[in-house]
Amino acid sequence: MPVFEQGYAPYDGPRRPLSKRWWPVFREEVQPYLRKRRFLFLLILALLPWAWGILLTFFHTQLGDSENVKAFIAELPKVDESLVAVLLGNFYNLFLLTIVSIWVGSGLVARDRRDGTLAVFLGRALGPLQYLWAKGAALGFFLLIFSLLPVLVLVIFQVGLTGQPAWLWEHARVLWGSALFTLLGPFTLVLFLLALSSMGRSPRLVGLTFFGIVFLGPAACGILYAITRSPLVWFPSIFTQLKALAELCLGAEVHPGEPGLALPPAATLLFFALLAASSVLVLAARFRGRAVLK
Amino acid sequence: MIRVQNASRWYGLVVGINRVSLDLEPGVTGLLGVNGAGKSTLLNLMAGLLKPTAGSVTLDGEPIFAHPRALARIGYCPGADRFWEDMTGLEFVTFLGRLSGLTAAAAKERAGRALQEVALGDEGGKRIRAMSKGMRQKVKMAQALVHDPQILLLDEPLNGMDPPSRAHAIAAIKRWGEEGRCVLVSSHLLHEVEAMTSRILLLHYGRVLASGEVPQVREAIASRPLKVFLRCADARTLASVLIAWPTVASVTFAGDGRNLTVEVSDASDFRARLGALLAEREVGLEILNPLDDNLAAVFSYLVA
Repeated sequence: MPVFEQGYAPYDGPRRPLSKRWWPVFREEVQPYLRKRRFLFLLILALLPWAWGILLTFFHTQLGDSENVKAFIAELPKVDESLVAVLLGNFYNLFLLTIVSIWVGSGLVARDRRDGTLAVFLGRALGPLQYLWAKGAALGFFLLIFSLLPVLVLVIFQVGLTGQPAWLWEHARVLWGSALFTLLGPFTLVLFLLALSSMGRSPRLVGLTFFGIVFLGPAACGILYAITRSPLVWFPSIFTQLKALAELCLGAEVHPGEPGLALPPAATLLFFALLAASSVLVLAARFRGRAVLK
Repeated sequence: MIRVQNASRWYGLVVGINRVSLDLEPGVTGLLGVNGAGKSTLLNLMAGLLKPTAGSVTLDGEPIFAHPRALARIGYCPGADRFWEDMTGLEFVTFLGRLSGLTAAAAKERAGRALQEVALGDEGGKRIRAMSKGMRQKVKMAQALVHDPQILLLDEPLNGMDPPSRAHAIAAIKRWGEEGRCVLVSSHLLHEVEAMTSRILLLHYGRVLASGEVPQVREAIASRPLKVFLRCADARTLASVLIAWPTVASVTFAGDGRNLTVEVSDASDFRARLGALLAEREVGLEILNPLDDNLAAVFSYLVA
């Protein structure tokens, strides 16, 4: 503990502008997770399929001409929109994305409500928007690992190993499609979790609710589909819609014949628009009059 | 300056505060009231944590609710514990200093100063989880002070503190008021409020029952004449003079016949007449002591 001169002198030093005061909240939210080994292990697990993607790039660019393995490598999928759609929209990636969403997202607001610290945040010169931005950015930061970030790494490897920047022009959709998927999918989930978290005081309950919505939703839709045979019943399934979104954004059909993906693209876009809009409405209602503090 | 104009806050059908108007001036003001009088609601409105159902709460003309610029000038010490328990006191206060816009280095330095100001300098490095109730109170006070606010709203800040800490905190609060800050302190302990300030704001059932300096408030309670204790050598003669004055309601002898208790309906008139009497006549006055112009009496007359 440093020793200071006695007396309480008024502070006349610099102050951070209001617009930048979200940063300490973001940092305080992210740092504890980066110290947890189990959490980091989960993130590494999430990156394994992408390591396979990088290996594929390596095989095609470095070993493709080798006579011994040429035939074998020719059989392997190439790095393109279809592969990225598979990597983004497969069950493994979406399952881990959901787990991380629950781990980080369920307590975003609920924990502050439970501990009473939300009043401390909002009693400071920190508006609800900055608070929500900081909290959302923390979850969004981790969800990037399941969306745009590994795609960027894959693209860098692809261009670096082939030495052909032209690949970027030919497969530009890999980049903008992944960015669109991130914006519409994971980031909408961030909004949804913020809204859900602002309605509860128990992170565990919020997490269980989200888990139920994500995993029990498809089960319920499956039962309804077995009865009605209408693909429309898959509309409210977040899990199915994320898969559909990956295919839609990257323009690749990687799960042919899956009944939930037979919905028109407009239905998928409508679903995420509705999810985002309802989340924003809930957040506005909870924070505008500070009902969230009750 | 914080101005509350006709502010009301309702929780469904329950009244928190009802048409309250006041100006919070520089210096220390004691906020008094029984449980449920609306003290915490008023503090929450002034801290920008609640929106008034009707009326307005402004800081220099700017609404406080949802206005970060106004909030930056307010330091709020809540009544309930609101901590990240795994942080140390210093980390907690530093973090909140950063939220208030201080740079990392400045926040740490100011947090150290604020903890010293509330006499928690050396123990600020403890985890909050391991702190006693009194130490937690000090951390809450330090976090309210760390960003050097002009307005300090303290909700029962002395709860759980030991006597030396209370004395230290009272001295600190008085000093903050003397520095020109507007300090509003709520408390149930009247003698502690009296030690900090003579200016009070008394809430009852969500309304302002009285505000101002304690003696002024006491004089305004017309239904309860002021009791004055007098001890003098010639009590009988003095009593015969006093009873003739129109502002004296009654005179009672007590003890050895040299003690008088006088009930006075107009204290200032009584003081003026008594001064004139003492100047013209020798009555051997030894003690003159108002019995019920203190805060405890004011509180009990108005609320009990």
